[in-house]
Amino acid sequence: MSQFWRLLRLQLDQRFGLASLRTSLRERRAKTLGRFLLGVLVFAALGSMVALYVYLLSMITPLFLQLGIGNILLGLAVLISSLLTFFMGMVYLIGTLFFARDIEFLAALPIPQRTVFAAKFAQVLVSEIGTGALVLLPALIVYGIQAEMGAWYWVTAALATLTAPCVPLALSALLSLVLMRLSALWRRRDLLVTLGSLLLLTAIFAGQGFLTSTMSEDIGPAEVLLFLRDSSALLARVCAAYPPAQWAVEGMHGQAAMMALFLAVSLAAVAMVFVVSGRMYYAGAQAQRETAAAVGKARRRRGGPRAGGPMRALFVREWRTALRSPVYALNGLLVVVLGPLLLAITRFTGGAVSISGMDDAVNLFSLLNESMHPFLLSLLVAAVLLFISCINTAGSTTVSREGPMFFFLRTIPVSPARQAAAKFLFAYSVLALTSLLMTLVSVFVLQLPAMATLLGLALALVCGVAPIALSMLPDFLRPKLAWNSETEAIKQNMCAVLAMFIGWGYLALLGVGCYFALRALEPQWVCALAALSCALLGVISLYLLCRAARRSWRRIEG
Amino acid sequence: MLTLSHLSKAYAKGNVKAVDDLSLHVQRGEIFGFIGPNGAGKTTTIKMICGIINPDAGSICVHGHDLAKEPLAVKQDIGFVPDAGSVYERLSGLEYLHFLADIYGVDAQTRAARMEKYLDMFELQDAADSPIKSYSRGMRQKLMLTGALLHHPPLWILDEPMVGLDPRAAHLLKQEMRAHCDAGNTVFFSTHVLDVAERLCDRIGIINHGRLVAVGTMEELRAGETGESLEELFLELTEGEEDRA
Repeated sequence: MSQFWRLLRLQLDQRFGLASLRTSLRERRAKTLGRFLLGVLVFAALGSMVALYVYLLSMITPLFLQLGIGNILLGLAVLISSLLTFFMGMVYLIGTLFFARDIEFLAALPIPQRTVFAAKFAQVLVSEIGTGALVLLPALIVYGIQAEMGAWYWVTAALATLTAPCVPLALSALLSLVLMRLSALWRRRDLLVTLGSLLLLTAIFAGQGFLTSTMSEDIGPAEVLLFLRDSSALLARVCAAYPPAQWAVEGMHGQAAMMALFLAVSLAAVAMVFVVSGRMYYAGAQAQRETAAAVGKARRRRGGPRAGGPMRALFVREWRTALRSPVYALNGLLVVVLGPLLLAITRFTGGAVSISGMDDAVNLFSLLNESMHPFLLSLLVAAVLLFISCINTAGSTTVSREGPMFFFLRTIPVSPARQAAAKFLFAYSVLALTSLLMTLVSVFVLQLPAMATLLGLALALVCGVAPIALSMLPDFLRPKLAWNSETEAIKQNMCAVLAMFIGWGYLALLGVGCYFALRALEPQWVCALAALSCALLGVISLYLLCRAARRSWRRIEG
Repeated sequence: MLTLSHLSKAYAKGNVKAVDDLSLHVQRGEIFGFIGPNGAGKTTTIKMICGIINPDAGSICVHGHDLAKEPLAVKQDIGFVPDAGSVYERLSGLEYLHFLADIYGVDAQTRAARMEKYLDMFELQDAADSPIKSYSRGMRQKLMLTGALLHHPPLWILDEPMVGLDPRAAHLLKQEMRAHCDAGNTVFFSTHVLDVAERLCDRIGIINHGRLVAVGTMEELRAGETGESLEELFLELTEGEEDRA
């Protein structure tokens, strides 16, 4: 047991930099406090989103309480936080459990594989409790205050917050163990892991869609009235896909047996994962290190691809690195595939309601097309494309992901500005690809008018230069080069968070500008104005990025 | 070919002098061995020459170009093989070599010929298509050596190049170093293998506690004393420095 606590302490020290924090405070106090202040600012920005969430909750909770279905809100909060943990946790677990640099080191020590797994799993669990709490805690607190709940509620709510991630994380861990074990059987392991994870997520979304559609097929006015009278039946309906959410809610409302069931299942799920890991963990983890060599000389072409310049070489290398690492592909490039995929899935997964729902959406869009100015539709399309494409963690962590290889960038005869341009092209190509795929799906699946949508795409491509370049600045100025696993480089990186805020902040300002411009000008002129001003801002942003590269390359020593 | 003038680098707010007022000149066509105890400042010096870290003071001149004023020209003239063995694991050997060839502007015909030559020499033909992740330490070292020679640099800088190489590969490397210098180029390398330095190098520099304690040919270092090996000289010189420290 002491081995587990020592390992857990090591993992948490490594992950959150606690050990180095003590040294930093002692030797580089001003710099460390500066970083702390930056972190506080980021949390303040994040806090504003949470504050908005709390505000919305405080508006709708009284309504739900009056209808006698307040527990639905709690059920939804537990459900959403569990879903979040499941999806985000799976990618986090794969990176931490199977691609961390210390696995070989730990495997050589006299520590059972179950203990190593448990320590790493616990590290992820601690992080996911924090992430899940962002969704769950505000709902629990607002509900508890407004419904004037007693001590039992508050105690069980705290327990639920701490244990809610257990089941979804345990499921994620089981799936990752199986996936990694299977990947050991195939030469192209990285590809299998990436595709396998993607297919799994797709299947889960499709299954969720199918379940929802079949559940809602027979809902008429009588059923709605029944639900409003019997809130527990409605809760059961909402939480049908995930019963522990219902148990947790009912447990918080005084049903001790339900809370005991929720806690027992949570702990049992974790215990089961520990039992399974004792047999499977190292086999999967070590397989990731045993990359099989290519077979034979037949495929080798010494002449190779056509000789290209440094920019092309750097650009191609960025894509190869991102695609060949499951952690980078799943965390950084998932948006390229998931956005269009979700649109397409909704159209084709089962249930008449689903399809008729999409038909309603198609009809709505046709109506919009008939009544709305085409350039206005283009603006909306551009806004949606940019909003989604701004989630570009691969692009906004391109320097951090160099890690120990950053020194190489200082040795090559390519100026920092040109290197920055190559990295920007990579990030921009992710945006372009995402936007293009979403446009194709929108035109062929949602049947949006082609011309307006294509114009929206063109607008998004022009307006996307500035937010992409600006969102890369934090990574260029303060990259996270010291990481133990690729997950830390891309997912647990403040630069990625800042990048999203910068991108969305830019879009918000652009949106406000367009809104006021529409009051004075026709939509086509607003489109032209937006394109021109964004093009100019794009040039300025690129200049700032190149300048940041010159400074950072001089400052950061390998 | 390589001139270091009063080069200095300190860490921990100047409390730890990694390199202290180092001045050195390496001539064209020379194999220069840079030796010293652990923590003497060899790798720090090499990193400063390659532009990986910034010197606190002093200047570095390579092939007539000042590193501070013309960094890209200097880097074009250097082929660097680091000690750490860090390389892009997700690329295949060939992809890595083509990447370097593109960076250094080697045309298609030249790169094909050189790749053929060095992959054959280091017996990496069969592994060239495989991901670097599957390579052993020695194979990675050989690949990095190949990559550093693709653009035929006037100055070849190697940090502990023999580490991880099998005897045959080490022998081939020494031959290649000699051939590179005979063609009018220069090799600057650090090593702990004093026997190799003694037999291979035209001149040797010994660094300790960041300072150059001796530099010259074996005869000059012996200063008239016959029979003394480099190892004996090295221990004598560095022990003396430690006593003074």
